[in-house]
Amino acid sequence: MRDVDIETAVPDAALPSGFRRWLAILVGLAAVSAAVMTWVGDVAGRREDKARVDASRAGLEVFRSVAATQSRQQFETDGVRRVAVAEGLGAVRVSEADVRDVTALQVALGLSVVDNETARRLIELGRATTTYPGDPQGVDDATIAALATTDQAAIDRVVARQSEHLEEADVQGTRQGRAILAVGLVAIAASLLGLAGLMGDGRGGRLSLRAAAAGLAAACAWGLSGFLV
Amino acid sequence: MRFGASAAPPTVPPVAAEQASTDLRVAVLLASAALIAAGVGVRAATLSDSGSDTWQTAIREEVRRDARLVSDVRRLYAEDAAVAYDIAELWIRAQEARREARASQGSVASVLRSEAAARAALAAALARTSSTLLDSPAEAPELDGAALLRRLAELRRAAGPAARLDPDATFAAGTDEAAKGSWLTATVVVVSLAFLCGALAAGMSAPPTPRRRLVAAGYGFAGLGLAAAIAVEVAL
Repeated sequence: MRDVDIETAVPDAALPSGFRRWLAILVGLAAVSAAVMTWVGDVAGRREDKARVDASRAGLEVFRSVAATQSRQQFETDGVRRVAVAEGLGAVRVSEADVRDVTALQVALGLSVVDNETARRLIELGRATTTYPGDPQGVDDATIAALATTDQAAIDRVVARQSEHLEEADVQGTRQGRAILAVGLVAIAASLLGLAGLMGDGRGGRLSLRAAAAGLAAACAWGLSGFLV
Repeated sequence: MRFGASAAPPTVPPVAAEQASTDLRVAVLLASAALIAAGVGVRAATLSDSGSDTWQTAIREEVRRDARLVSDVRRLYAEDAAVAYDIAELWIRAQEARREARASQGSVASVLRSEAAARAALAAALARTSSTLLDSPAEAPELDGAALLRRLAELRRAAGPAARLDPDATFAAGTDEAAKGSWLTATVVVVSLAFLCGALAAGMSAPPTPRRRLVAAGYGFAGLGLAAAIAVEVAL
């Protein structure tokens, strides 16, 4: 009886070299594409999160600055009003005094002098209370910054920065969404590659291989298109 | 398995043995790369999630800190400084009325002295009962920007932990975590090149030398990816 090796007796079941080579190349590219798209999605997602947090913090900065400045400005406005009241009172005392009553007129004149001097010193007081030393006297930086935001232009700059953060978040969100979809397409392509390997170099196998190649190309194109928005 | 009468040992062609050995190395390469990619991916995802959570914590801290900050500033200007200003104005009026009384005579001087006494008494009473900004009810108390800041610093210290929150530092910590996660994810791309090499080696039937080189390159990429991941983990 002739020796027969059962493992070599049947024809080689290996796929034809061309089909096998393309299958291997596409499998490798699928792995790389999945990794790259995952990375793109991760980076974009992180930047989107950061941009949204930056936008939220900018909103808080506006609230903090407006609220803190409002209290300060109200105090300063009250000071100016008191000066005006003191000055006005001094003038009204004299104009409304009974000129036929000499004593009353003298008292009104005396009080008017007091009012006017008080107004002058209140102006000095207002200047003193609105002049802050370079040394923050132990107040934390955030509070100083909030109190220092007194002009509308500064608020507008923060609002503009917030808008930029929100636009950045939208761009990164789109990029992340496309990368995630690309990873899904790579997964479908990988399934088709597995199917092609099972079917072999037949009509169905070649069709699966082509579909997988198209799926991979579409995945890469869609994932990278996020950088064009 | 062998059928037949002969007991002679089977002969394995050298090329087939070489191919079987390379196939085994490819399988080990792909399995190793998969394990590395999975491990690094899990760690990267954990770090990214942690970074995002830390950012949210920074927002919560900022909300708490700002609420207290605004409350303290309102307390300073709407209550403490306003009362101090009232007292200062009363003292100023009292001083000016006394000065004018000295320059006057008779009943006018009496009225002005009475005015000065009333204003001074009211100022002293207010200073005793209501002033938290002025240290003493002394005449002509110091009220200026420095005094306001000193009182604000007191209020901020009394605010406790809410005033000591540092959302900027928390935000920076979240950024560091997220960046580390992204760098780890990038190392998976390097590991994926090991997959590419392994797949190409698996798809190549002959000659054996390029296959061996591809497998070696695959192990190189896998090792490089792992080393990069470890470097990121240690250095960042």
